[in-house]
Amino acid sequence: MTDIGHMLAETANRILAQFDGHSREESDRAALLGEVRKAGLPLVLLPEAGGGAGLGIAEAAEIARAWGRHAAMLPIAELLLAGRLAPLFGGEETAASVSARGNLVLSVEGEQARLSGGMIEAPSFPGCRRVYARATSPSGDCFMVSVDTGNAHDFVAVTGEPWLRITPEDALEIRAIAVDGLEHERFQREGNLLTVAAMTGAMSAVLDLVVEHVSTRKQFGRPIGKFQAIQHLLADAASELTLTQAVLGRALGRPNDPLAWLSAKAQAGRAASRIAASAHQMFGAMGFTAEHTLHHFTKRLWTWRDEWLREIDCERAVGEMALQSGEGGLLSFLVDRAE
Amino acid sequence: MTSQASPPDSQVHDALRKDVRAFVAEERAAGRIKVGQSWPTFDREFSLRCAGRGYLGMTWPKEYGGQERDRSERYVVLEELLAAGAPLGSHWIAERQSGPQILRNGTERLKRQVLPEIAAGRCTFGIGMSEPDSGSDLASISTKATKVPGGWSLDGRKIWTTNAHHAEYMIVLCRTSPKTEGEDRKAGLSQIVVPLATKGASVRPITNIAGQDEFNEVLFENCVVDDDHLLGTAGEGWRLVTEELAYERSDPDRFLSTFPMLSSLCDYLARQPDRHAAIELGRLVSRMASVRALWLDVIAALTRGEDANQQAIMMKEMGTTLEQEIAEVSRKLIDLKPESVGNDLAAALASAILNAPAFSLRGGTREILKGIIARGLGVR
Repeated sequence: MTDIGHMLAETANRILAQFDGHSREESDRAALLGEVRKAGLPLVLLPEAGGGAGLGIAEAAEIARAWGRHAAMLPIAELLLAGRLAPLFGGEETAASVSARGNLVLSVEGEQARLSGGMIEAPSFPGCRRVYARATSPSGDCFMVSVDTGNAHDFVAVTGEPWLRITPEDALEIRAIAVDGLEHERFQREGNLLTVAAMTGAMSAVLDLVVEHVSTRKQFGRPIGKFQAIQHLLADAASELTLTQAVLGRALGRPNDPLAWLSAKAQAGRAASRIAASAHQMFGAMGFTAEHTLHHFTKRLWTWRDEWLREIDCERAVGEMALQSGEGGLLSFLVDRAE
Repeated sequence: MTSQASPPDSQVHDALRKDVRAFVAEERAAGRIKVGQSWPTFDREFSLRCAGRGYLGMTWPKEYGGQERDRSERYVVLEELLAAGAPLGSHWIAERQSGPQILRNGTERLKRQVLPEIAAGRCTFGIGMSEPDSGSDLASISTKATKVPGGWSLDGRKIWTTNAHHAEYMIVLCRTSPKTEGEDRKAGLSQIVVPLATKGASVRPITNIAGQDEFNEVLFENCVVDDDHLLGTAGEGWRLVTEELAYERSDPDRFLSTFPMLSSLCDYLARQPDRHAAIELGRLVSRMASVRALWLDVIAALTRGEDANQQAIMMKEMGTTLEQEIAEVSRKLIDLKPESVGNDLAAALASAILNAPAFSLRGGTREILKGIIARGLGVR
């Protein structure tokens, strides 16, 4: 971790330490959002020329990781990305969330922009008024669009947090800015990597909770961690986390290598499922209560594994790339990669 | 060797990688890399050609036949040869662990006698650790070495020694002091280099379920070897064997053994790609990419002089599980009847299926590895 990364993590931890009640109250979420903005966190990815901190994805990932460690109640990946994208729309107030979905089609009829083809779905927060999303024109040109949330349908995700769904017909005040394909790719990559970072934070928190529990909970006259079955479950969980951290670290340093970030997101999904299931197993009935802290983490893992790119879609994308590598080409596909 | 060394995946090593690929292509064209083979497959001629190419003893001191090249360069060569399924069994153990063990702990005379032979590809070593009654519980071994004038006399039995029937030497873990129960059971052990042509050493091949004679049983009956074949000093064998085992853990063989199968699976699926197959393949490839990333982290940590034992063990455990998954997904998706004999995809499939159980047994049984990981987490 760089010094700046350390600093950002510390800032995030300091803020989040005040909010560890996992409260769903809008007032608490608004208060947290206030602290986040005061600390300038949404501007981390914005270039310095635009008034931001001009930092990279590796540093921003440290904020996301801290977020995951606290199972904090705001959509950090979306806030960080919205902060970077806001100037595209003329410095529009960053009361915007971000939709990960990618199959929106933008067409222009006269002066009127219209959307079709896909849904806009975004995690909400207090005061959220716009959602940014990727769109392409029928001829394949790339755009970033900003839509108003006025007609959005509210729903509640597995984590208990509010989300917005906007059908293309319900998209109001559509603003569209042309971007190149690289921006679309970058958007995807950053959203997925920030999510992976948040997942590693949550997974490491879960492992710490589990180690503490199996070291202190006694049954049959000894801590349950003395039983080999528990030790092996724990070993598997720790290995999955270590593997995820390794591939995330690699992906954060390789902006031009889609195999790296796709593998990171796929691996994070696999690890999250394993770790969440094992943790619930080792915590027994106690960990299955609303009162216990475990579900705040496991629910996030269950949703994050299929947010941005779903785990299975990452696997399919990797497979499709590999299938294009030519006869005997898999080794070169794996090792001869641009950074 | 510099601390600023470029990692194995750096483009700095492109020329070397190309060189190894050219070698592999030549060997393939000449039919000398066969389907269903892997790094344990014994082929002395192949090892001699590897040595001629400068691929053995790369990091060793020049005075012992090495080239004093960077560790990363060795990893580049290993990665390419392992992924190709090359038959490295004649030199594998000698080059990657026995040689370095002797380099660290052998007498000068022993080093000069053995190391250049290994670097030249002329020497095979066997690992003398397991016994019929001592597998995972290595400290319980009972092969003993009794002091005699000018040397040691060995009595006992070793088993599961890969390629011992071809080996010139074996490093034997033995008791040089009587066995005691309780905390001292790891004391009194030593490692001795035994030339297998020595009177009193006899080797009996054991055929495995895949029909290969890789395993052996080695019997020692009053087998006398010279004093200077003792590694380190008598009684420090447990520390030596622990170091030797740790040394092997950073090598990429533990996730690349079935790479040829994965590559063949990819080629097979590419002929008629479908969504389901792409997902299955992608799951394996993304896992492979992740394990490789962990491997690179382990190497980077070792290069910085840090302990990476916990990560290396995790890498090994997940690597061998991946190897078994590759065999499993391949047999599900490849619509061919596996054939035990042959040189094509059907034979590769049979080989993968038959050899799969051994991946999580050899060089550290899975359940033992998980126990070590748990200990590293503080729960054991």
